[in-house]
Amino acid sequence: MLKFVNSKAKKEITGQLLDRFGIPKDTFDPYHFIENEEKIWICSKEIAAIDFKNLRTEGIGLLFARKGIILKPTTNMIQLFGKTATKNVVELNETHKDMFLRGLDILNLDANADTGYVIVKHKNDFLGCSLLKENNLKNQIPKQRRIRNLNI
Amino acid sequence: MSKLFFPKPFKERYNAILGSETETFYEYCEKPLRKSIRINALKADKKTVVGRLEKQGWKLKPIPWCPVGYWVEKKGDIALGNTQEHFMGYFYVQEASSMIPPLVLAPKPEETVLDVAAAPGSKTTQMAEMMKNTGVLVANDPNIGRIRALRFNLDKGGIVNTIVNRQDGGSISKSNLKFDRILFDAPCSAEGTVRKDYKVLNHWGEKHIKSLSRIQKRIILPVADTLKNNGTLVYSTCTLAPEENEEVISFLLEKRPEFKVEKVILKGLKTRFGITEWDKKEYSKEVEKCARIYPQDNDSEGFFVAKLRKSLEPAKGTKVK
Repeated sequence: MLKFVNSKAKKEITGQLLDRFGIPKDTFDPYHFIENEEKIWICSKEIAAIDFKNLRTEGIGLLFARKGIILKPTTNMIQLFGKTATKNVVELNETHKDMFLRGLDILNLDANADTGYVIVKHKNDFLGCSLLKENNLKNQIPKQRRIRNLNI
Repeated sequence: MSKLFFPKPFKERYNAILGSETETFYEYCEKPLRKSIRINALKADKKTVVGRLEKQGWKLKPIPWCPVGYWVEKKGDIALGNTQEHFMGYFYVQEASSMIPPLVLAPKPEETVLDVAAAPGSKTTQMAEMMKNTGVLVANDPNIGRIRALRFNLDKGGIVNTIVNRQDGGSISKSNLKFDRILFDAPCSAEGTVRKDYKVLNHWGEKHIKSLSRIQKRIILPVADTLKNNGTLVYSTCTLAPEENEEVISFLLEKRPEFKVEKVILKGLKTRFGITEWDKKEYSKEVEKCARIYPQDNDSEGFFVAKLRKSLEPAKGTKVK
Protein backbone atom coordinates (compact mmCIF):
# COMPACT_ATOMS: atom_id res chain seq x y z
CA MET A 1 0.00 0.00 0.00
CA LEU A 2 1.49 3.33 -1.10
CA LYS A 3 1.22 6.32 1.22
CA PHE A 4 2.62 9.84 1.34
CA VAL A 5 5.41 10.22 3.90
CA ASN A 6 4.61 12.67 6.70
CA SER A 7 6.97 15.48 7.66
CA LYS A 8 8.49 13.55 10.60
CA ALA A 9 9.32 10.54 8.42
CA LYS A 10 10.61 12.86 5.68
CA LYS A 11 13.02 14.38 8.20
CA GLU A 12 14.24 10.88 9.04
CA ILE A 13 14.90 10.06 5.37
CA THR A 14 16.65 13.35 4.60
CA GLY A 15 18.56 13.08 7.91
CA GLN A 16 20.01 9.71 6.88
CA LEU A 17 21.12 11.16 3.54
CA LEU A 18 22.72 14.14 5.29
CA ASP A 19 24.60 11.88 7.71
CA ARG A 20 25.82 9.43 5.10
CA PHE A 21 26.43 11.63 2.06
CA GLY A 22 26.25 15.20 3.33
CA ILE A 23 23.29 15.94 1.05
CA PRO A 24 21.65 19.09 2.48
CA LYS A 25 18.15 18.45 3.81
CA ASP A 26 16.68 21.38 1.90
CA THR A 27 17.59 19.68 -1.41
CA PHE A 28 14.31 17.82 -0.96
CA ASP A 29 12.11 20.77 0.06
CA PRO A 30 10.40 20.98 -3.37
CA TYR A 31 9.37 17.31 -3.23
CA HIS A 32 7.17 14.80 -1.44
CA PHE A 33 8.07 11.21 -0.61
CA ILE A 34 5.83 8.18 -1.03
CA GLU A 35 6.52 4.81 0.55
CA ASN A 36 5.44 1.22 0.94
CA GLU A 37 6.98 -1.44 3.19
CA GLU A 38 10.10 -1.80 1.02
CA LYS A 39 10.65 1.28 -1.11
CA ILE A 40 10.54 5.08 -1.20
CA TRP A 41 9.65 7.23 -4.21
CA ILE A 42 10.12 10.97 -4.73
CA CYS A 43 7.55 13.12 -6.53
CA SER A 44 6.59 16.72 -7.25
CA LYS A 45 4.65 18.52 -4.50
CA GLU A 46 1.60 19.04 -6.72
CA ILE A 47 1.02 15.28 -6.97
CA ALA A 48 -0.05 15.23 -3.31
CA ALA A 49 -3.17 17.25 -4.22
CA ILE A 50 -4.42 14.65 -6.72
CA ASP A 51 -7.43 12.47 -5.94
CA PHE A 52 -6.23 8.97 -6.82
CA LYS A 53 -9.56 7.27 -6.05
CA ASN A 54 -10.60 6.61 -9.66
CA LEU A 55 -7.16 6.19 -11.19
CA ARG A 56 -5.45 2.87 -11.86
CA THR A 57 -2.02 3.95 -10.73
CA GLU A 58 1.00 1.90 -11.77
CA GLY A 59 3.65 4.25 -10.40
CA ILE A 60 4.23 7.70 -8.94
CA GLY A 61 7.39 9.77 -9.32
CA LEU A 62 10.88 8.28 -9.30
CA LEU A 63 12.08 5.27 -7.31
CA PHE A 64 14.33 6.95 -4.74
CA ALA A 65 15.63 4.35 -2.29
CA ARG A 66 15.14 0.87 -0.87
CA LYS A 67 14.51 0.50 2.84
CA GLY A 68 16.67 -1.61 5.11
CA ILE A 69 18.74 -1.08 8.22
CA ILE A 70 20.13 1.81 6.20
CA LEU A 71 18.69 3.43 3.07
CA LYS A 72 20.00 2.22 -0.27
CA PRO A 73 19.71 5.03 -2.84
CA THR A 74 18.84 4.04 -6.42
CA THR A 75 20.98 4.74 -9.47
CA ASN A 76 18.35 7.19 -10.75
CA MET A 77 18.25 9.07 -7.44
CA ILE A 78 22.06 9.42 -7.42
CA GLN A 79 22.09 10.65 -11.01
CA LEU A 80 19.59 13.35 -10.06
CA PHE A 81 20.79 14.44 -6.60
CA GLY A 82 24.34 13.01 -6.31
CA LYS A 83 25.95 16.33 -7.19
CA THR A 84 24.80 17.76 -3.85
CA ALA A 85 26.75 15.13 -1.86
CA THR A 86 29.87 16.13 0.08
CA LYS A 87 31.07 12.81 1.54
CA ASN A 88 31.30 9.10 0.80
CA VAL A 89 31.69 9.91 -2.88
CA VAL A 90 34.11 7.63 -4.72
CA GLU A 91 35.74 8.98 -7.87
CA LEU A 92 36.66 6.38 -10.48
CA ASN A 93 39.42 6.57 -13.04
CA GLU A 94 38.73 5.86 -16.72
CA THR A 95 39.38 2.09 -16.52
CA HIS A 96 37.30 1.59 -13.38
CA LYS A 97 34.50 3.76 -14.78
CA ASP A 98 34.28 1.54 -17.88
CA MET A 99 34.13 -1.56 -15.63
CA PHE A 100 31.44 0.09 -13.54
CA LEU A 101 29.27 0.93 -16.57
CA ARG A 102 29.58 -2.70 -17.70
CA GLY A 103 28.21 -3.84 -14.34
CA LEU A 104 31.46 -5.28 -12.99
CA ASP A 105 32.68 -5.12 -9.38
CA ILE A 106 35.92 -3.24 -8.73
CA LEU A 107 38.37 -4.95 -6.42
CA ASN A 108 41.20 -3.50 -4.34
CA LEU A 109 40.11 0.09 -4.84
CA ASP A 110 41.89 2.77 -2.88
CA ALA A 111 38.71 4.61 -1.92
CA ASN A 112 38.61 7.42 0.59
CA ALA A 113 35.15 6.55 1.96
CA ASP A 114 33.46 4.70 4.80
CA THR A 115 32.24 1.10 4.46
CA GLY A 116 28.66 0.98 3.22
CA TYR A 117 26.76 2.55 0.35
CA VAL A 118 28.76 5.13 -1.58
CA ILE A 119 28.10 7.48 -4.47
CA VAL A 120 30.19 6.66 -7.52
CA LYS A 121 31.30 9.44 -9.84
CA HIS A 122 33.50 9.99 -12.86
CA LYS A 123 34.50 13.60 -13.50
CA ASN A 124 31.14 15.47 -13.37
CA ASP A 125 28.96 12.38 -13.95
CA PHE A 126 27.33 10.92 -10.86
CA LEU A 127 27.00 7.37 -12.11
CA GLY A 128 25.17 5.58 -9.34
CA CYS A 129 25.37 3.82 -6.00
CA SER A 130 27.71 1.03 -4.90
CA LEU A 131 28.46 -0.98 -1.80
CA LEU A 132 31.99 -0.43 -0.49
CA LYS A 133 33.36 -3.23 1.65
CA GLU A 134 37.04 -3.94 2.41
CA ASN A 135 38.21 -1.82 -0.56
CA ASN A 136 35.92 -3.70 -2.95
CA LEU A 137 33.17 -1.87 -4.78
CA LYS A 138 30.12 -4.04 -5.38
CA ASN A 139 28.26 -2.93 -8.47
CA GLN A 140 24.58 -2.01 -7.95
CA ILE A 141 23.71 -0.82 -11.48
CA PRO A 142 20.48 -2.54 -12.57
CA LYS A 143 21.09 -5.10 -15.32
CA GLN A 144 18.95 -3.30 -17.89
CA ARG A 145 20.96 -0.07 -17.36
CA ARG A 146 24.40 -1.63 -17.85
CA ILE A 147 26.32 -1.02 -21.09
CA ARG A 148 27.55 -4.32 -22.43
CA ASN A 149 29.24 -2.89 -25.55
CA LEU A 150 30.59 0.32 -24.14
CA ASN A 151 31.99 2.82 -26.65
CA ILE A 152 35.62 3.49 -25.77
CA MET B 1 11.15 4.03 -59.77
CA SER B 2 9.98 2.79 -56.33
CA LYS B 3 11.97 0.03 -54.64
CA LEU B 4 9.44 -0.46 -51.85
CA PHE B 5 6.18 -2.20 -52.57
CA PHE B 6 3.35 0.28 -52.02
CA PRO B 7 -0.09 -1.37 -52.12
CA LYS B 8 -2.21 -0.19 -55.04
CA PRO B 9 -4.89 1.54 -52.89
CA PHE B 10 -2.08 3.28 -50.96
CA LYS B 11 -0.69 4.64 -54.26
CA GLU B 12 -4.14 5.65 -55.43
CA ARG B 13 -4.86 7.67 -52.30
CA TYR B 14 -1.51 9.51 -52.28
CA ASN B 15 -1.74 10.19 -56.00
CA ALA B 16 -5.10 11.82 -55.23
CA ILE B 17 -3.81 13.78 -52.22
CA LEU B 18 -0.39 14.86 -53.52
CA GLY B 19 -0.85 15.02 -57.30
CA SER B 20 2.39 16.06 -59.00
CA GLU B 21 4.34 15.64 -55.75
CA THR B 22 3.66 11.91 -55.45
CA GLU B 23 7.03 10.78 -56.83
CA THR B 24 8.93 13.03 -54.38
CA PHE B 25 6.78 11.57 -51.58
CA TYR B 26 7.72 7.98 -52.55
CA GLU B 27 11.35 8.96 -52.99
CA TYR B 28 11.47 10.26 -49.39
CA CYS B 29 9.51 7.26 -48.08
CA GLU B 30 12.39 5.11 -49.32
CA LYS B 31 15.18 7.27 -47.92
CA PRO B 32 16.62 6.08 -44.59
CA LEU B 33 15.54 8.26 -41.68
CA ARG B 34 18.05 10.62 -40.08
CA LYS B 35 18.81 9.70 -36.47
CA SER B 36 17.95 12.36 -33.92
CA ILE B 37 18.24 12.98 -30.20
CA ARG B 38 16.67 15.31 -27.66
CA ILE B 39 18.86 16.57 -24.85
CA ASN B 40 17.41 16.21 -21.36
CA ALA B 41 17.88 19.58 -19.67
CA LEU B 42 16.70 18.08 -16.35
CA LYS B 43 19.98 16.18 -16.12
CA ALA B 44 22.48 17.97 -18.29
CA ASP B 45 23.45 21.21 -19.91
CA LYS B 46 22.88 21.28 -23.69
CA LYS B 47 26.29 22.73 -24.58
CA THR B 48 28.14 20.19 -22.45
CA VAL B 49 26.34 17.19 -23.99
CA VAL B 50 26.81 18.47 -27.54
CA GLY B 51 30.51 19.09 -26.82
CA ARG B 52 31.01 15.63 -25.34
CA LEU B 53 29.32 13.84 -28.25
CA GLU B 54 31.21 15.91 -30.83
CA LYS B 55 34.48 15.12 -29.08
CA GLN B 56 33.70 11.43 -29.61
CA GLY B 57 33.27 12.02 -33.34
CA TRP B 58 29.48 12.44 -33.65
CA LYS B 59 28.25 15.16 -35.98
CA LEU B 60 25.30 17.11 -34.54
CA LYS B 61 23.01 19.45 -36.46
CA PRO B 62 20.31 21.46 -34.64
CA ILE B 63 16.68 20.63 -35.44
CA PRO B 64 15.22 24.07 -36.22
CA TRP B 65 11.86 23.58 -34.48
CA CYS B 66 13.19 22.01 -31.26
CA PRO B 67 15.70 23.99 -29.16
CA VAL B 68 17.04 20.80 -27.55
CA GLY B 69 16.82 18.53 -30.62
CA TYR B 70 19.70 17.49 -32.88
CA TRP B 71 20.14 15.29 -35.92
CA VAL B 72 23.06 13.01 -35.30
CA GLU B 73 25.30 11.48 -37.91
CA LYS B 74 26.50 8.01 -37.16
CA LYS B 75 30.11 7.41 -36.29
CA GLY B 76 31.11 4.01 -37.71
CA ASP B 77 29.16 1.14 -36.21
CA ILE B 78 28.96 2.62 -32.73
CA ALA B 79 25.46 2.90 -31.31
CA LEU B 80 24.36 6.05 -29.49
CA GLY B 81 22.77 3.81 -26.87
CA ASN B 82 26.20 2.55 -25.85
CA THR B 83 27.59 5.91 -24.80
CA GLN B 84 28.16 7.10 -21.24
CA GLU B 85 25.95 10.13 -22.00
CA HIS B 86 23.04 7.82 -22.87
CA PHE B 87 23.64 5.79 -19.70
CA MET B 88 23.42 9.04 -17.73
CA GLY B 89 20.07 9.91 -19.33
CA TYR B 90 21.56 13.09 -20.80
CA PHE B 91 19.70 12.53 -24.06
CA TYR B 92 16.79 10.55 -25.45
CA VAL B 93 16.85 9.03 -28.96
CA GLN B 94 13.69 10.50 -30.49
CA GLU B 95 12.51 11.09 -34.05
CA ALA B 96 12.58 14.78 -34.99
CA SER B 97 8.87 14.91 -35.93
CA SER B 98 7.86 13.21 -32.68
CA MET B 99 9.24 16.28 -30.85
CA ILE B 100 6.54 18.44 -32.50
CA PRO B 101 3.35 17.59 -30.49
CA PRO B 102 4.80 18.50 -27.04
CA LEU B 103 6.19 21.76 -28.50
CA VAL B 104 2.75 22.62 -29.88
CA LEU B 105 1.06 21.73 -26.58
CA ALA B 106 3.66 23.81 -24.65
CA PRO B 107 2.98 22.55 -21.09
CA LYS B 108 4.09 24.95 -18.32
CA PRO B 109 5.57 24.33 -14.87
CA GLU B 110 3.04 23.48 -12.13
CA GLU B 111 0.23 22.65 -14.56
CA THR B 112 -1.84 19.45 -14.59
CA VAL B 113 -1.28 17.66 -17.88
CA LEU B 114 -2.54 14.39 -19.40
CA ASP B 115 -0.65 12.22 -21.88
CA VAL B 116 -3.36 9.82 -23.07
CA ALA B 117 -1.16 7.24 -24.84
CA ALA B 118 2.19 7.80 -23.17
CA ALA B 119 4.32 4.66 -23.69
CA PRO B 120 7.20 4.33 -24.36
CA GLY B 121 7.62 7.88 -23.06
CA SER B 122 9.53 10.01 -25.57
CA LYS B 123 6.90 12.76 -25.58
CA THR B 124 6.16 12.29 -21.86
CA THR B 125 9.79 12.86 -20.88
CA GLN B 126 9.91 15.87 -23.21
CA MET B 127 6.82 17.37 -21.55
CA ALA B 128 8.16 16.67 -18.04
CA GLU B 129 11.28 18.58 -19.01
CA MET B 130 9.20 21.49 -20.35
CA MET B 131 7.31 21.50 -17.03
CA LYS B 132 10.67 21.62 -15.20
CA ASN B 133 9.74 18.42 -13.36
CA THR B 134 6.94 20.22 -11.46
CA GLY B 135 3.15 20.02 -11.55
CA VAL B 136 1.40 16.78 -12.42
CA LEU B 137 1.79 14.80 -15.62
CA VAL B 138 -0.56 11.82 -15.83
CA ALA B 139 1.17 9.36 -18.17
CA ASN B 140 -1.52 6.93 -19.23
CA ASP B 141 -1.31 3.78 -21.30
CA PRO B 142 -3.62 0.75 -21.35
CA ASN B 143 -0.87 -1.83 -22.03
CA ILE B 144 1.11 -3.23 -19.08
CA GLY B 145 4.06 -4.32 -21.25
CA ARG B 146 4.39 -0.84 -22.70
CA ILE B 147 4.01 0.66 -19.22
CA ARG B 148 7.18 -1.16 -18.11
CA ALA B 149 9.12 0.56 -20.91
CA LEU B 150 7.48 3.88 -19.99
CA ARG B 151 8.48 3.60 -16.32
CA PHE B 152 12.04 2.65 -17.24
CA ASN B 153 12.37 5.72 -19.49
CA LEU B 154 10.82 8.04 -16.90
CA ASP B 155 13.23 6.85 -14.22
CA LYS B 156 16.21 7.12 -16.54
CA GLY B 157 15.18 10.65 -17.48
CA GLY B 158 15.03 11.65 -13.80
CA ILE B 159 11.31 12.45 -14.01
CA VAL B 160 9.50 13.00 -10.70
CA ASN B 161 6.25 14.73 -11.75
CA THR B 162 4.43 11.76 -13.33
CA ILE B 163 1.62 9.50 -12.26
CA VAL B 164 1.75 6.38 -14.44
CA ASN B 165 -1.81 5.22 -15.00
CA ARG B 166 -3.20 2.15 -16.77
CA GLN B 167 -6.61 2.77 -18.29
CA ASP B 168 -8.21 2.71 -21.68
CA GLY B 169 -7.99 6.29 -22.97
CA GLY B 170 -11.79 6.40 -23.18
CA SER B 171 -12.12 5.70 -19.44
CA ILE B 172 -9.94 8.60 -18.27
CA SER B 173 -12.99 10.80 -17.73
CA LYS B 174 -14.03 8.50 -14.86
CA SER B 175 -11.02 9.77 -12.89
CA ASN B 176 -12.85 13.11 -12.32
CA LEU B 177 -9.56 14.93 -12.92
CA LYS B 178 -9.47 18.09 -15.02
CA PHE B 179 -6.42 19.02 -17.05
CA ASP B 180 -4.85 22.30 -18.21
CA ARG B 181 -3.41 20.57 -21.28
CA ILE B 182 -3.85 17.20 -22.94
CA LEU B 183 -1.76 15.36 -25.49
CA PHE B 184 -3.53 12.60 -27.38
CA ASP B 185 -0.89 11.04 -29.60
CA ALA B 186 -3.26 8.42 -30.92
CA PRO B 187 -2.57 4.79 -31.79
CA CYS B 188 -2.60 4.85 -35.59
CA SER B 189 -1.73 3.03 -38.81
CA ALA B 190 1.77 4.59 -38.63
CA GLU B 191 2.09 5.26 -42.38
CA GLY B 192 4.49 8.10 -41.59
CA THR B 193 7.02 5.71 -40.03
CA VAL B 194 7.68 3.82 -43.27
CA ARG B 195 11.20 5.30 -43.46
CA LYS B 196 12.02 3.68 -40.13
CA ASP B 197 10.20 0.40 -40.73
CA TYR B 198 8.93 -0.54 -44.18
CA LYS B 199 6.95 -3.42 -42.59
CA VAL B 200 4.15 -0.96 -41.78
CA LEU B 201 3.18 -1.39 -45.43
CA ASN B 202 2.59 -5.13 -44.83
CA HIS B 203 -0.15 -4.28 -42.33
CA TRP B 204 -1.53 -1.39 -44.34
CA GLY B 205 -5.17 -1.60 -45.39
CA GLU B 206 -8.17 0.70 -45.68
CA LYS B 207 -10.22 -1.55 -43.38
CA HIS B 208 -7.54 -1.22 -40.73
CA ILE B 209 -7.51 2.59 -41.15
CA LYS B 210 -11.29 2.78 -40.75
CA SER B 211 -11.17 0.59 -37.64
CA LEU B 212 -8.48 2.81 -36.09
CA SER B 213 -10.51 5.90 -36.98
CA ARG B 214 -13.45 4.48 -35.01
CA ILE B 215 -11.18 3.86 -31.98
CA GLN B 216 -9.73 7.38 -32.17
CA LYS B 217 -13.24 8.90 -32.31
CA ARG B 218 -14.36 6.76 -29.37
CA ILE B 219 -11.46 7.98 -27.23
CA ILE B 220 -11.26 11.65 -28.19
CA LEU B 221 -14.68 12.71 -26.82
CA PRO B 222 -14.25 11.54 -23.18
CA VAL B 223 -10.66 12.79 -23.30
CA ALA B 224 -11.83 16.23 -24.51
CA ASP B 225 -14.35 16.35 -21.65
CA THR B 226 -11.53 16.21 -19.08
CA LEU B 227 -9.99 19.45 -20.38
CA LYS B 228 -10.47 22.63 -18.34
CA ASN B 229 -12.11 25.65 -19.93
CA ASN B 230 -9.50 27.56 -21.99
CA GLY B 231 -7.31 24.45 -21.91
CA THR B 232 -5.37 23.13 -24.91
CA LEU B 233 -5.72 19.72 -26.53
CA VAL B 234 -3.18 18.48 -29.06
CA TYR B 235 -4.15 15.52 -31.21
CA SER B 236 -1.37 13.91 -33.23
CA THR B 237 -0.64 10.78 -35.24
CA CYS B 238 2.28 9.43 -37.23
CA THR B 239 -0.02 8.66 -40.14
CA LEU B 240 -1.22 10.67 -43.10
CA ALA B 241 -4.59 8.95 -43.56
CA PRO B 242 -7.34 11.63 -43.47
CA GLU B 243 -9.74 9.17 -41.75
CA GLU B 244 -7.42 9.08 -38.73
CA ASN B 245 -6.67 12.78 -38.79
CA GLU B 246 -8.96 15.50 -40.15
CA GLU B 247 -11.99 13.20 -39.89
CA VAL B 248 -11.39 12.67 -36.15
CA ILE B 249 -10.98 16.42 -35.57
CA SER B 250 -14.06 17.21 -37.65
CA PHE B 251 -15.99 14.64 -35.58
CA LEU B 252 -14.82 16.30 -32.35
CA LEU B 253 -15.83 19.77 -33.60
CA GLU B 254 -19.27 18.50 -34.52
CA LYS B 255 -19.85 16.78 -31.14
CA ARG B 256 -18.11 19.38 -28.98
CA PRO B 257 -18.66 22.82 -30.57
CA GLU B 258 -16.82 24.49 -27.66
CA PHE B 259 -13.55 23.39 -29.34
CA LYS B 260 -11.79 25.59 -31.88
CA VAL B 261 -8.80 24.66 -34.01
CA GLU B 262 -5.71 26.87 -33.73
CA LYS B 263 -2.89 27.10 -36.26
CA VAL B 264 0.25 25.07 -35.63
CA ILE B 265 3.24 27.36 -35.97
CA LEU B 266 6.76 26.27 -35.09
CA LYS B 267 9.78 28.19 -36.32
CA GLY B 268 11.66 26.28 -39.01
CA LEU B 269 8.96 23.63 -39.53
CA LYS B 270 7.26 23.31 -42.90
CA THR B 271 3.62 22.23 -42.64
CA ARG B 272 0.67 21.86 -45.04
CA PHE B 273 -3.00 22.67 -44.57
CA GLY B 274 -5.40 19.99 -43.38
CA ILE B 275 -7.62 18.30 -45.96
CA THR B 276 -11.31 19.31 -45.89
CA GLU B 277 -12.69 16.65 -48.20
CA TRP B 278 -11.88 12.97 -48.58
CA ASP B 279 -13.61 9.83 -49.84
CA LYS B 280 -16.83 11.75 -50.63
CA LYS B 281 -16.93 13.15 -47.08
CA GLU B 282 -16.76 16.84 -46.31
CA TYR B 283 -15.04 17.86 -43.11
CA SER B 284 -15.38 21.07 -41.10
CA LYS B 285 -13.51 23.94 -42.81
CA GLU B 286 -11.77 24.48 -39.45
CA VAL B 287 -9.58 21.39 -40.02
CA GLU B 288 -7.67 23.35 -42.64
CA LYS B 289 -5.77 24.86 -39.66
CA CYS B 290 -4.41 21.41 -38.74
CA ALA B 291 -0.84 20.61 -39.81
CA ARG B 292 0.10 17.82 -42.24
CA ILE B 293 3.78 17.03 -42.42
CA TYR B 294 5.00 14.93 -45.32
CA PRO B 295 8.39 13.17 -45.23
CA GLN B 296 9.71 15.46 -48.00
CA ASP B 297 8.76 18.67 -46.13
CA ASN B 298 11.40 18.49 -43.40
CA ASP B 299 13.23 15.26 -44.30
CA SER B 300 11.49 13.54 -41.36
CA GLU B 301 8.73 11.01 -40.71
CA GLY B 302 5.21 11.85 -41.86
CA PHE B 303 3.07 13.41 -39.12
CA PHE B 304 -0.25 15.09 -38.37
CA VAL B 305 -0.86 17.62 -35.59
CA ALA B 306 -4.01 19.46 -34.53
CA LYS B 307 -4.09 22.09 -31.79
CA LEU B 308 -7.49 22.77 -30.21
CA ARG B 309 -8.68 25.18 -27.56
CA LYS B 310 -11.75 24.64 -25.42
CA SER B 311 -13.78 27.78 -24.94
CA LEU B 312 -17.09 27.52 -23.14
CA GLU B 313 -19.06 30.61 -24.13
CA PRO B 314 -21.16 31.80 -21.20
CA ALA B 315 -24.89 31.65 -21.81
CA LYS B 316 -26.67 35.01 -21.46
CA GLY B 317 -26.79 36.21 -17.88
CA THR B 318 -24.54 33.44 -16.53
CA LYS B 319 -20.87 33.31 -15.62
CA VAL B 320 -18.43 30.52 -16.50
CA LYS B 321 -16.92 29.16 -13.30
